[in-house]
Amino acid sequence: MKNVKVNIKLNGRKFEREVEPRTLLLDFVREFADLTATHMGCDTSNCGACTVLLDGKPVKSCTVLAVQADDREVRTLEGLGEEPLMKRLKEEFIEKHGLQCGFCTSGMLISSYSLLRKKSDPNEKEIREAISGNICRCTGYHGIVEAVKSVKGETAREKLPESPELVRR
Amino acid sequence: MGSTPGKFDYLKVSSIRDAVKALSEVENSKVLAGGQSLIPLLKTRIMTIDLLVDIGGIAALDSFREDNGFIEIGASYKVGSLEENRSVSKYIPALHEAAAGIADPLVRNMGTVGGNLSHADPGNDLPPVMTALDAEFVISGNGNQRVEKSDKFFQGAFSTGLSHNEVLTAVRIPRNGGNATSAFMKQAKSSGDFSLASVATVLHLDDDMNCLSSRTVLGSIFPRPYLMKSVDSHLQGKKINTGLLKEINNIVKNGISVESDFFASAEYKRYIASYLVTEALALAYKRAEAGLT
Repeated sequence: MKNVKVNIKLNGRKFEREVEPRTLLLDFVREFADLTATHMGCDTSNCGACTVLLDGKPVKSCTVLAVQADDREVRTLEGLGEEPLMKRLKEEFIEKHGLQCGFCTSGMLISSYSLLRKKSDPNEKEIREAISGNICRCTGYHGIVEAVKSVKGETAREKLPESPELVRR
Repeated sequence: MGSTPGKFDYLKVSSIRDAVKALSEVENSKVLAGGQSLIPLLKTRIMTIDLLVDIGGIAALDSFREDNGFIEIGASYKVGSLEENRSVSKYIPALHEAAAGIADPLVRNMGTVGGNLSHADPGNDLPPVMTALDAEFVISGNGNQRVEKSDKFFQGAFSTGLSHNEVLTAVRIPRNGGNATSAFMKQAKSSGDFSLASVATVLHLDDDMNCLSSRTVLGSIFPRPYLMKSVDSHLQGKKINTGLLKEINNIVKNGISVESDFFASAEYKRYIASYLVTEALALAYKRAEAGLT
């Protein structure tokens, strides 16, 4: 079985690696790029703790092969740290008790972030729908929804920042 | 690390021709579209393969085209794109409703129309909708292309009329002329779960709101989409009202033969199927009355 070369623009920086075709994007990000904000939760495409942005859209990296992201752009939570909208979201998650143990939080943040980029003023139904692929066992979702609500109306920066220093080897 | 699939070779193709060639050469091979059904099967090793043929790089398959006679949706068109497509939500509300109810937004961003149909899971929602819409399935194989309707395409649970070296490349939905309306409803154990039962209905009405013809399809209850001819013939020439819906409810409840299984009792299946049929018909009719379609 032949290895294949995968070239991903990971958090704004080229990251190339030869991998077995069966490598999950989740493992590519965590094990090879050492970016551990992306969590492995259920490993069955249910919980969304492994959510990353693939070409700007949130997907479950436990159910995407690294080869599917070849020549494409992947953003993990580390690569969104400097984004003003993400900063605001994080503040509100803390303020409104949008997290407790924190395990689902990276996925919740990315799903909420991508909703707010698409629609700056979502209603509660839209917020709940947007995070319906992410499971939280601590908050009962109320705090998360409240946090996203408090950020609504604010606009996101058009272009995502380059943050090469966040990709460690 | 996440559960890892068994080892396989990987080939990213740039044309359907190359895909068909690769599939023909390696017996134990499989097409990768979005991977949202296939990757879980590989990860659990319910399925092991020798070659994965990735059609994700064929840009032409990620398409949506409106023509005079039909709407053509490419096999790699994402379920999420279908959900957000304004033309779909305006003219084919049933298709929008089905797309918007599949799994969750994250899965819909990867999952494709062609994958949902080719996987032919009885719990999938696009098969009954495409059946109700009388869609054509465009299939490419060794040097030829063929077009099939739903009754030939869906053959059973996880089983289609696709040969091993054939690829579904598109579905064509005939454009509904005049007063056509549609609706889709489903029942699942929880949000984002596979359907226990689903109903898609497409109604063609005359100017006085009488039902000219219809296609009402039950999903998930049987291994393949089930066109309810008894319901459609009962609707013909009539206006939909509470009385008629009661009759339809009885036709469905007494007309389907189901067995209890792990997921639901036979009694519940009959109840939920008849309930969904009447609700979907009422919704579609209401849409026509409001002039929404």
